[in-house]
Amino acid sequence: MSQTLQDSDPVVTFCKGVVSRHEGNWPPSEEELADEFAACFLLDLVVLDEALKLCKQLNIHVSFVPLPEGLHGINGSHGQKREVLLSTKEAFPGGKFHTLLHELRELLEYTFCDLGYPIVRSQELEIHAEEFASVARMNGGKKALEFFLENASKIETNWKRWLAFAAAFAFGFAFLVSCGMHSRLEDAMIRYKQNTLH
Amino acid sequence: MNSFAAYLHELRKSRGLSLKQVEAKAGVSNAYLSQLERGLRKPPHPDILRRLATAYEVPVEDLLGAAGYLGNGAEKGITREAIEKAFAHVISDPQFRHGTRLKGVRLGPDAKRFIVEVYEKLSGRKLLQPE
Repeated sequence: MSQTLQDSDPVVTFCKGVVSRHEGNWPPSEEELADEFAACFLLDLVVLDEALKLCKQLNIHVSFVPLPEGLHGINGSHGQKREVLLSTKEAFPGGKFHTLLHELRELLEYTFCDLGYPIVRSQELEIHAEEFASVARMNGGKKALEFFLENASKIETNWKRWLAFAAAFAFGFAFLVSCGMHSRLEDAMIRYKQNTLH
Repeated sequence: MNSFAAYLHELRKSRGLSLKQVEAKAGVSNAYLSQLERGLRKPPHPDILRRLATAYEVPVEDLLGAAGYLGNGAEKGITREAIEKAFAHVISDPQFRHGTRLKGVRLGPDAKRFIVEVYEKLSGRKLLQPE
Protein backbone atom coordinates (compact mmCIF):
# COMPACT_ATOMS: atom_id res chain seq x y z
CA MET A 1 0.00 0.00 0.00
CA SER A 2 1.69 3.14 -1.22
CA GLN A 3 -0.62 5.66 0.41
CA THR A 4 0.81 7.96 3.06
CA LEU A 5 -0.55 7.41 6.53
CA GLN A 6 -1.19 10.76 8.15
CA ASP A 7 -0.50 11.22 11.85
CA SER A 8 -3.35 13.74 12.00
CA ASP A 9 -5.75 10.87 11.32
CA PRO A 10 -6.99 9.73 14.79
CA VAL A 11 -7.44 6.14 13.56
CA VAL A 12 -3.81 6.02 12.41
CA THR A 13 -2.65 7.56 15.71
CA PHE A 14 -4.60 4.96 17.69
CA CYS A 15 -3.24 2.06 15.64
CA LYS A 16 0.34 3.33 15.90
CA GLY A 17 -0.11 3.53 19.67
CA VAL A 18 -1.34 -0.06 19.83
CA VAL A 19 1.60 -1.20 17.68
CA SER A 20 4.12 0.58 19.90
CA ARG A 21 2.66 -0.91 23.11
CA HIS A 22 2.32 -4.47 21.79
CA GLU A 23 5.21 -4.68 19.30
CA GLY A 24 7.12 -7.19 21.42
CA ASN A 25 4.09 -9.43 21.79
CA TRP A 26 2.23 -9.02 18.51
CA PRO A 27 -0.67 -9.47 17.85
CA PRO A 28 -2.82 -8.24 20.73
CA SER A 29 -5.94 -10.21 21.58
CA GLU A 30 -9.35 -8.79 20.71
CA GLU A 31 -9.90 -8.18 24.42
CA GLU A 32 -6.69 -6.15 24.66
CA LEU A 33 -7.64 -4.24 21.54
CA ALA A 34 -11.12 -3.48 22.88
CA ASP A 35 -9.57 -2.27 26.15
CA GLU A 36 -7.12 -0.05 24.23
CA PHE A 37 -9.96 1.32 22.15
CA ALA A 38 -12.15 2.18 25.14
CA ALA A 39 -9.22 3.70 27.05
CA CYS A 40 -7.95 5.75 24.11
CA PHE A 41 -11.29 7.27 23.24
CA LEU A 42 -12.59 7.42 26.84
CA LEU A 43 -15.57 5.51 25.66
CA ASP A 44 -18.13 3.75 27.81
CA LEU A 45 -19.36 1.41 25.14
CA VAL A 46 -22.91 0.92 26.27
CA VAL A 47 -25.05 3.00 23.99
CA LEU A 48 -25.09 3.57 20.26
CA ASP A 49 -25.17 7.35 20.58
CA GLU A 50 -21.73 7.38 22.25
CA ALA A 51 -20.28 5.29 19.46
CA LEU A 52 -21.85 7.55 16.83
CA LYS A 53 -20.28 10.60 18.46
CA LEU A 54 -16.95 8.82 18.45
CA CYS A 55 -17.28 8.02 14.74
CA LYS A 56 -17.86 11.71 14.09
CA GLN A 57 -14.62 12.51 15.97
CA LEU A 58 -12.81 9.87 13.92
CA ASN A 59 -14.19 11.28 10.65
CA ILE A 60 -16.00 8.03 9.98
CA HIS A 61 -19.29 8.80 8.29
CA VAL A 62 -22.13 6.57 9.52
CA SER A 63 -25.46 6.26 7.70
CA PHE A 64 -28.55 4.22 8.47
CA VAL A 65 -30.00 2.70 5.32
CA PRO A 66 -32.52 -0.01 4.50
CA LEU A 67 -29.94 -2.67 3.56
CA PRO A 68 -31.10 -5.99 2.06
CA GLU A 69 -32.27 -8.73 4.43
CA GLY A 70 -29.37 -10.45 6.19
CA LEU A 71 -26.93 -7.61 5.55
CA HIS A 72 -26.42 -5.79 8.84
CA GLY A 73 -23.65 -3.42 7.89
CA ILE A 74 -21.06 -2.38 5.33
CA ASN A 75 -17.76 -0.61 5.84
CA GLY A 76 -15.54 0.98 3.23
CA SER A 77 -12.21 2.72 3.30
CA HIS A 78 -10.50 4.63 0.50
CA GLY A 79 -7.30 6.40 1.46
CA GLN A 80 -8.10 8.27 4.66
CA LYS A 81 -11.85 8.35 3.98
CA ARG A 82 -14.03 5.86 5.82
CA GLU A 83 -17.73 5.09 5.67
CA VAL A 84 -20.09 2.76 7.52
CA LEU A 85 -23.63 1.84 6.51
CA LEU A 86 -25.88 0.29 9.14
CA SER A 87 -29.15 -1.45 8.47
CA THR A 88 -32.34 0.11 9.77
CA LYS A 89 -33.85 -3.38 10.10
CA GLU A 90 -32.06 -4.84 13.14
CA ALA A 91 -34.18 -7.41 14.97
CA PHE A 92 -32.18 -7.64 18.20
CA PRO A 93 -31.71 -4.95 20.83
CA GLY A 94 -28.20 -3.58 20.55
CA GLY A 95 -27.89 -4.95 17.02
CA LYS A 96 -26.96 -1.64 15.42
CA PHE A 97 -24.39 -0.97 18.12
CA HIS A 98 -22.89 -4.45 17.73
CA THR A 99 -22.67 -4.06 13.96
CA LEU A 100 -21.10 -0.61 14.25
CA LEU A 101 -18.37 -2.02 16.53
CA HIS A 102 -17.87 -4.90 14.10
CA GLU A 103 -17.40 -2.47 11.21
CA LEU A 104 -15.07 -0.27 13.27
CA ARG A 105 -12.89 -3.31 14.04
CA GLU A 106 -12.61 -4.08 10.33
CA LEU A 107 -11.69 -0.47 9.57
CA LEU A 108 -8.99 -0.63 12.25
CA GLU A 109 -7.59 -3.78 10.65
CA TYR A 110 -7.10 -2.00 7.31
CA THR A 111 -4.97 0.60 9.08
CA PHE A 112 -2.99 -2.07 10.96
CA CYS A 113 -2.32 -3.69 7.57
CA ASP A 114 -1.16 -0.36 6.11
CA LEU A 115 1.23 0.04 9.04
CA GLY A 116 2.62 -3.41 8.32
CA TYR A 117 1.12 -4.96 11.45
CA PRO A 118 -1.92 -7.01 10.48
CA ILE A 119 -3.60 -8.68 13.43
CA VAL A 120 -5.49 -11.36 11.52
CA ARG A 121 -5.60 -12.94 8.09
CA SER A 122 -8.39 -11.48 5.96
CA GLN A 123 -10.37 -14.77 6.07
CA GLU A 124 -10.48 -14.57 9.86
CA LEU A 125 -11.39 -10.91 10.12
CA GLU A 126 -15.14 -11.55 10.37
CA ILE A 127 -14.72 -13.81 13.41
CA HIS A 128 -12.34 -11.39 15.10
CA ALA A 129 -14.62 -8.41 14.39
CA GLU A 130 -17.51 -10.29 16.03
CA GLU A 131 -15.35 -11.06 19.05
CA PHE A 132 -14.20 -7.44 19.30
CA ALA A 133 -17.80 -6.17 19.17
CA SER A 134 -18.93 -8.61 21.87
CA VAL A 135 -15.97 -7.93 24.16
CA ALA A 136 -16.23 -4.16 23.74
CA ARG A 137 -19.94 -4.21 24.60
CA MET A 138 -19.39 -6.52 27.56
CA ASN A 139 -16.61 -4.29 28.91
CA GLY A 140 -18.90 -1.28 28.59
CA GLY A 141 -21.67 -3.20 30.35
CA LYS A 142 -19.33 -4.21 33.19
CA LYS A 143 -18.37 -0.58 33.76
CA ALA A 144 -22.01 0.49 33.80
CA LEU A 145 -22.82 -2.32 36.23
CA GLU A 146 -19.97 -1.33 38.57
CA PHE A 147 -21.22 2.25 38.54
CA PHE A 148 -24.78 1.10 39.30
CA LEU A 149 -23.67 -1.23 42.11
CA GLU A 150 -21.55 1.51 43.67
CA ASN A 151 -24.56 3.82 43.73
CA ALA A 152 -26.86 1.05 44.96
CA SER A 153 -24.53 0.39 47.92
CA LYS A 154 -25.13 3.97 49.07
CA ILE A 155 -28.87 3.42 49.50
CA GLU A 156 -29.58 3.52 53.22
CA THR A 157 -32.84 1.55 53.42
CA ASN A 158 -31.97 -2.16 53.55
CA TRP A 159 -34.75 -3.57 51.41
CA LYS A 160 -34.35 -0.84 48.76
CA ARG A 161 -30.60 -1.48 48.62
CA TRP A 162 -31.07 -5.23 48.12
CA LEU A 163 -33.77 -4.61 45.54
CA ALA A 164 -31.37 -2.35 43.64
CA PHE A 165 -28.64 -5.03 43.85
CA ALA A 166 -31.02 -7.70 42.58
CA ALA A 167 -32.18 -5.48 39.71
CA ALA A 168 -28.58 -4.64 38.81
CA PHE A 169 -27.52 -8.30 38.78
CA ALA A 170 -30.55 -9.38 36.76
CA PHE A 171 -30.08 -6.59 34.23
CA GLY A 172 -26.30 -7.06 34.14
CA PHE A 173 -26.56 -10.81 33.62
CA ALA A 174 -29.12 -10.40 30.79
CA PHE A 175 -26.99 -7.70 29.19
CA LEU A 176 -23.74 -9.68 29.33
CA VAL A 177 -25.43 -12.81 27.96
CA SER A 178 -27.00 -10.82 25.12
CA CYS A 179 -23.61 -9.26 24.25
CA GLY A 180 -21.70 -12.53 24.37
CA MET A 181 -24.36 -14.51 22.58
CA HIS A 182 -25.44 -11.84 20.07
CA SER A 183 -24.09 -13.61 17.02
CA ARG A 184 -25.43 -17.02 18.13
CA LEU A 185 -28.86 -15.57 18.85
CA GLU A 186 -28.93 -14.09 15.35
CA ASP A 187 -27.91 -17.46 13.85
CA ALA A 188 -30.63 -19.20 15.86
CA MET A 189 -33.17 -16.67 14.61
CA ILE A 190 -32.10 -17.30 10.98
CA ARG A 191 -32.39 -21.09 11.45
CA TYR A 192 -35.83 -20.64 13.02
CA LYS A 193 -36.97 -18.47 10.11
CA GLN A 194 -35.60 -20.95 7.56
CA ASN A 195 -37.30 -23.88 9.31
CA THR A 196 -40.57 -21.97 9.47
CA LEU A 197 -40.40 -21.14 5.76
CA HIS A 198 -39.66 -24.70 4.66
CA MET B 1 -42.63 2.02 13.75
CA ASN B 2 -42.10 1.30 10.02
CA SER B 3 -38.66 1.10 8.43
CA PHE B 4 -38.90 4.60 6.89
CA ALA B 5 -39.82 6.07 10.27
CA ALA B 6 -36.92 4.25 11.95
CA TYR B 7 -34.58 5.35 9.18
CA LEU B 8 -35.58 9.00 9.54
CA HIS B 9 -35.22 8.86 13.31
CA GLU B 10 -31.76 7.24 13.16
CA LEU B 11 -30.64 9.68 10.49
CA ARG B 12 -31.48 12.68 12.65
CA LYS B 13 -29.88 11.09 15.71
CA SER B 14 -26.72 10.28 13.76
CA ARG B 15 -26.44 13.94 12.77
CA GLY B 16 -26.95 15.05 16.39
CA LEU B 17 -29.85 17.33 15.43
CA SER B 18 -32.99 18.12 17.39
CA LEU B 19 -36.39 18.26 15.68
CA LYS B 20 -36.34 22.05 15.98
CA GLN B 21 -32.89 22.28 14.40
CA VAL B 22 -34.13 20.22 11.45
CA GLU B 23 -37.19 22.46 11.22
CA ALA B 24 -34.89 25.49 10.97
CA LYS B 25 -32.66 23.84 8.38
CA ALA B 26 -35.29 22.19 6.19
CA GLY B 27 -38.37 24.31 6.77
CA VAL B 28 -40.39 21.24 7.77
CA SER B 29 -42.43 21.57 10.97
CA ASN B 30 -41.02 19.72 13.96
CA ALA B 31 -44.46 18.31 14.83
CA TYR B 32 -44.76 16.79 11.35
CA LEU B 33 -41.21 15.42 11.57
CA SER B 34 -41.99 13.85 14.91
CA GLN B 35 -45.07 12.15 13.44
CA LEU B 36 -43.01 10.91 10.49
CA GLU B 37 -40.38 9.46 12.85
CA ARG B 38 -43.05 7.67 14.86
CA GLY B 39 -44.63 6.21 11.72
CA LEU B 40 -47.86 8.14 12.26
CA ARG B 41 -47.72 9.76 8.81
CA LYS B 42 -47.08 8.32 5.37
CA PRO B 43 -43.67 9.11 3.79
CA PRO B 44 -43.82 12.70 2.50
CA HIS B 45 -43.70 14.16 -0.97
CA PRO B 46 -40.29 14.02 -2.73
CA ASP B 47 -39.95 17.82 -2.41
CA ILE B 48 -39.94 17.51 1.37
CA LEU B 49 -37.50 14.61 1.15
CA ARG B 50 -35.18 16.79 -0.93
CA ARG B 51 -35.22 19.48 1.78
CA LEU B 52 -34.54 16.88 4.45
CA ALA B 53 -31.72 15.37 2.39
CA THR B 54 -30.06 18.79 2.26
CA ALA B 55 -30.52 19.27 6.02
CA TYR B 56 -29.09 15.83 6.80
CA GLU B 57 -26.38 16.09 4.13
CA VAL B 58 -27.26 12.77 2.48
CA PRO B 59 -27.96 12.00 -1.18
CA VAL B 60 -31.64 12.56 -1.92
CA GLU B 61 -31.74 9.05 -3.42
CA ASP B 62 -31.20 7.61 0.07
CA LEU B 63 -34.34 9.27 1.37
CA LEU B 64 -36.34 8.60 -1.79
CA GLY B 65 -35.31 4.94 -1.65
CA ALA B 66 -36.17 4.61 2.05
CA ALA B 67 -39.55 6.26 1.41
CA GLY B 68 -40.31 3.74 -1.32
CA TYR B 69 -40.06 6.13 -4.27
CA LEU B 70 -37.16 4.16 -5.69
CA GLY B 71 -37.00 0.43 -5.62
CA ASN B 72 -33.98 -1.72 -6.24
CA GLY B 73 -31.31 -1.02 -8.83
CA ALA B 74 -33.42 -2.35 -11.68
CA GLU B 75 -36.16 0.18 -11.00
CA LYS B 76 -33.55 2.92 -10.95
CA GLY B 77 -32.58 1.91 -14.47
CA ILE B 78 -29.42 0.20 -13.30
CA THR B 79 -29.11 -3.33 -14.58
CA ARG B 80 -27.71 -6.30 -12.70
CA GLU B 81 -24.89 -6.53 -15.27
CA ALA B 82 -23.97 -2.90 -14.62
CA ILE B 83 -23.84 -3.58 -10.87
CA GLU B 84 -21.64 -6.66 -11.36
CA LYS B 85 -19.32 -4.74 -13.68
CA ALA B 86 -19.06 -1.82 -11.26
CA PHE B 87 -18.48 -4.22 -8.34
CA ALA B 88 -15.68 -5.96 -10.24
CA HIS B 89 -14.05 -2.55 -10.72
CA VAL B 90 -14.50 -1.70 -7.05
CA ILE B 91 -12.85 -4.86 -5.73
CA SER B 92 -9.96 -4.45 -8.14
CA ASP B 93 -9.07 -1.02 -6.74
CA PRO B 94 -6.24 -1.68 -4.23
CA GLN B 95 -6.97 1.60 -2.44
CA PHE B 96 -10.46 0.48 -1.55
CA ARG B 97 -11.10 -1.95 1.29
CA HIS B 98 -14.52 -3.00 2.37
CA GLY B 99 -16.26 -5.45 4.64
CA THR B 100 -19.75 -6.53 5.47
CA ARG B 101 -21.62 -8.10 8.33
CA LEU B 102 -23.70 -10.71 6.56
CA LYS B 103 -25.87 -13.31 8.24
CA GLY B 104 -27.50 -16.27 6.50
CA VAL B 105 -27.32 -14.83 2.99
CA ARG B 106 -24.78 -14.39 0.21
CA LEU B 107 -23.65 -11.09 -1.20
CA GLY B 108 -26.38 -10.34 -3.76
CA PRO B 109 -26.69 -7.59 -6.37
CA ASP B 110 -28.52 -5.26 -3.98
CA ALA B 111 -25.74 -5.57 -1.41
CA LYS B 112 -23.10 -5.10 -4.11
CA ARG B 113 -24.89 -1.95 -5.25
CA PHE B 114 -24.56 -0.51 -1.74
CA ILE B 115 -20.84 -1.34 -1.70
CA VAL B 116 -20.42 0.31 -5.10
CA GLU B 117 -22.23 3.38 -3.79
CA VAL B 118 -19.88 3.54 -0.79
CA TYR B 119 -16.96 3.33 -3.21
CA GLU B 120 -18.46 6.08 -5.38
CA LYS B 121 -18.82 8.35 -2.38
CA LEU B 122 -15.32 7.74 -1.00
CA SER B 123 -13.45 7.80 -4.31
CA GLY B 124 -15.54 10.51 -5.98
CA ARG B 125 -15.91 8.34 -9.09
CA LYS B 126 -19.33 7.61 -10.56
CA LEU B 127 -19.70 4.02 -11.75
CA LEU B 128 -23.42 3.37 -11.77
CA GLN B 129 -25.41 5.40 -14.26
CA PRO B 130 -29.08 4.75 -15.07
CA GLU B 131 -29.49 3.54 -18.65
